[in-house]
Amino acid sequence: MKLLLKALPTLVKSIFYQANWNIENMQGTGFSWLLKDLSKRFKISFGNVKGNERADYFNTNPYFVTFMLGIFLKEAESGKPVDQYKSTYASVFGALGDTFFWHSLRPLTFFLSLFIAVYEPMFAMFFYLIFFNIFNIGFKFLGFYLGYNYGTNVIDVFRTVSFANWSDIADMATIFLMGGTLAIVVKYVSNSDAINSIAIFKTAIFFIAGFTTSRYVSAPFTLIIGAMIVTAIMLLQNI
Amino acid sequence: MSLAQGILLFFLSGFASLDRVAGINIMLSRPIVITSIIGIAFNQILICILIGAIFEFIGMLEVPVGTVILKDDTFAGYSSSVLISLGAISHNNLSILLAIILVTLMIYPVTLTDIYCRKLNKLMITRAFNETKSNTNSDGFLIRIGLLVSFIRGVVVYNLATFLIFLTLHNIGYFAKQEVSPIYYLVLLFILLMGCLFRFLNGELFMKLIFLVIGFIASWIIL
Amino acid sequence: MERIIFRVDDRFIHGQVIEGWINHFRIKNIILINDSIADDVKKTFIYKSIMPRNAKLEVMSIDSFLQLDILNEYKKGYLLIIVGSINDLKLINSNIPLEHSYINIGCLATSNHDIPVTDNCFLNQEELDCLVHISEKHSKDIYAHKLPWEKPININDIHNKQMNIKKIQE
Repeated sequence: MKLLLKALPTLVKSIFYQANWNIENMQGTGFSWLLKDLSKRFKISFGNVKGNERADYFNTNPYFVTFMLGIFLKEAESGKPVDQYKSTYASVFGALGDTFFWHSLRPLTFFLSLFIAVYEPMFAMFFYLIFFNIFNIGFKFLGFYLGYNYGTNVIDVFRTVSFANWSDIADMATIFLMGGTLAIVVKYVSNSDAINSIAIFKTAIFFIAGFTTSRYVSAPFTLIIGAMIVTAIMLLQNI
Repeated sequence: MSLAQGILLFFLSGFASLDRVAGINIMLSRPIVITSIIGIAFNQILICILIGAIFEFIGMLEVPVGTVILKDDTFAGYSSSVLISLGAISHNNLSILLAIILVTLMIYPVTLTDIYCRKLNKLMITRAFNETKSNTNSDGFLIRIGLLVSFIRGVVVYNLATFLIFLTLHNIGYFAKQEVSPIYYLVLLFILLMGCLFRFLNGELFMKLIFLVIGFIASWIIL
Repeated sequence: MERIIFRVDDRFIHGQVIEGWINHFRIKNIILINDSIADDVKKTFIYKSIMPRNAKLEVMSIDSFLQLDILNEYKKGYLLIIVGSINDLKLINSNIPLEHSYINIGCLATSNHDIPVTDNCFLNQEELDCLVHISEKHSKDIYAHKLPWEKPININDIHNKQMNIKKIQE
């Protein structure tokens, strides 16, 4: 707890560290900015951190950066070379974070908040923000704590909770909720609680069309094509 | 639009862009969140959420791995809900579908400004490489510049692009005022995109189908 | 796409590899060829721990890869083979089963930025010549290909462009 309080300003700063994101050194500028801040606070040296050299190339998932800070601090305190595992952990956390946060958590949070929206539209947004940020803030603080306590062995924690599988579990939950959403939509389309074969047929056609087109076309184009077709149908019906 | 609403839109566009491009990452930039906020402020919550849910898929179907820069779905959510709130498009005629098409097309130039922001960052960091070998405090300055640029980008680009769409819709207004109810069709578009997401999510197709059907049946019985 | 994918990537396994290649093609077997990682038990363990379910990673040194009979060991399904540098690719190129292989260059951003190929792939003249040499020797195109759904860039085109620039300069 004392450790977290001491590092709190750096952890808060870490939400801004991506601001200089560029395709030259990626998040390198931000990361060395955080390291300097941390070294001032803990009065410890991380060696030669400049932040404006190509060697400081750094890229990971933004929700995992505090793990790196924790590991660096631990290694520096025990007198080992800090960047021995820098590139390994940066790319590994990048992979874990991209699959969990970007690939899986966004759809899961979205469908959960859709269910809230059906009952109380006002709360859907708050739910989205709270649910996502429980993970966000949790990873920020817990990440620094675990990174510091386990050092370069922090991967053991991920293995214990089998983090690599979380994404798959979240995806399956999303699909379950997607099925639930489809049921609500079918009820809306058929305007009743009785099973309406035409409504199910229409829903299935659009669902399968989306499934098929997404293989060949990107999402915005699918949307444009879909909107055009739907506009044409509406105009025809109106005539 | 009252003054308070105007101020809200000013800060919302800036912070949403900042949340997306430069930092914070609390997901203020998700279309569903930003449309809800504008929907609450302008008392149009239901239609705003529906349109936000449609644009949400554009972001969900892409993953920002490595140097990939995502299509700017934040703009799509912001722009469409502002258009609804200002009464430029309405949920009882064709204009809403035209707006979806225009906003989706406008995503591409808006995303380009995101790429230019990154290029600006690159320009500044390469200048720092060359000239200030001794100056080690330049990175804090670069971070602040990055935050400011992304905020300004949001305010200028999002609102300008929305204004352009507003003008276009205004000029084809006669065509768009066909009296039909598109909500039903918006729901169908939503299903179309859900089909895309179904392919995108991980897992064996057979398992995914089973979970989908179980979810469907469970929800049908319970709700 | 051919069944065996060779990828040169100096970050080895990161978001693009897992989210892009492994999940997109549902690849079950991955081989990472690098001498220093193969010697380092902890790094090997770290990389193995982050594999998605159903995907199996093997870390090998260059020598042990050269003794591997790929086509017999991995008869079915996709196989992803990752090496860390163009130099390593040169060393293993005698054991690439060409008719089944697709060779691509992913992220090479930590070296000097002499010749830009994509936004995260930069080569120097020596590396480019080496790639063109491998490509010509086996009459097999090599691509810079970041993600499966993006358009690949043929390395020979980059080479030709570079030659043209040189001619103009002369």
